[in-house]
Order: sequence, then C-alpha cells, then structure tokens
Amino acid sequence: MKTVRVTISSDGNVKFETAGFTGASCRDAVKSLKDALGGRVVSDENTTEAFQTEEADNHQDLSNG
Amino acid sequence: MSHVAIVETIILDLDALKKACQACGLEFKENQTTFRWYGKWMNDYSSNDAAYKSGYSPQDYGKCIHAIGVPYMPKAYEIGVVQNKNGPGWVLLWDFYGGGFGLEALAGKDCSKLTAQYNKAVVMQEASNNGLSMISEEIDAQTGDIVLLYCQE
Repeated sequence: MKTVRVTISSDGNVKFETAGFTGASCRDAVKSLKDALGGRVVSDENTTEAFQTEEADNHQDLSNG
Repeated sequence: MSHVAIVETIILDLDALKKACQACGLEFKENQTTFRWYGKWMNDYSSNDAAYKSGYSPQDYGKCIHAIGVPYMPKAYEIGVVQNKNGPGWVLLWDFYGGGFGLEALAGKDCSKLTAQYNKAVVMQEASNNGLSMISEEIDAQTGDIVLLYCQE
C-alpha cells in the first residue's frame, strides 16, 4: 500500500514520509501538498524500499544502455 | 510596549486560515481593516521577526485586510492579515507583548498553534483534491505534533 505520512510540528515545519512508492512517484505524490504550503516545508523522506526500487531501476537502465 | 512581529508562515489559502481560526477558538474578522495592538510605535522591539524588518512600516501597524481576534475578550490584541509585500499571499502581524492579553493563549507562542492548524487545513484540502484517503489523524503525545496518515490507491 502506498502511504504518505505528514507530520506538522508546532515550529511550523511539515515533514513528509512516503512508503510503497517506486522511484520518482513518491515525489509526485507530495509535490502538490508541498506547493500548497508555499515552500514552508520542510523535510522530505522516502523509505528504504523506495530508494532500493529506484536504484534497481537505474542499474537495469545502465545494463541495458 | 509595541512588539509587533511578523509570523513566518506565509498564508496562501484564506479558507484554510478560517478553518485554523475555528480550530484554535479564534474569530476570523473578514474585512476588518484594523487590528488591535499597543497603538503607538515606541521604537522598542527590534528582533529579527520585528515586522518593520520585513518591510512593514510602523506607520502602518494596526492596518490590515482582515483581522483575527479573541471572542468575548474585547481588550485582547488581534492578529492582522496583511498583504505579503515580498511575494504572493498574506502575512500575519501581531503585537505579542503581554501575551497579547489573551491572544497568545489561543494562537500559541509565535502563533504556532494557529500556523500548525493552518498547515493541517492546507494539507487536508490538497490531499482530498489529489485523491489521497486519510487513514488516521493523531497528536504525538510527546511532541504535540499533528500526524496525518494517508493512503493512495
């Protein structure tokens, strides 16, 4: 399941954590949320799962290239 | 004393700000063009968040587009919603001296409660617009952070 966890702290920061997304799709999932906040964000974290999948895709692209 | 400060969060969505006011027990006073403060610039507050340091002249302190006040507390100071001079949207100006005589108790130190509720309202609206379904909403018992969990099909 693809999930987005949003943590809104009292100091005004907003943190996004995504899980279950592959590659750049996790960035797409939170882009509009971050834009709506006007750049007051923040930190943006992806799960290991997302990075591993992206790396695997990149390796495959290299091997094919 | 006149301690008019600017709140760091830029307001881009007035509907979200209205929801935030409601969540904090504050009253959004649409089209009220003045906000209550000490009333006279004493040339005293000069920290980095002093409103004049962001381009808001002390001559204009107390002027706004909308105001935010404390219900049933006529002596409490108010928050001014002012056009952002440095980009899109609006900024919040307020005189926090003496806790704004009741204002800070609802809005939070540095208006932190109000801005957290504003951020929450913005995220919830935008998440809904983008087809994200809320799974849970919690308050972190240790930090007081608002934690929203969404899923995407």
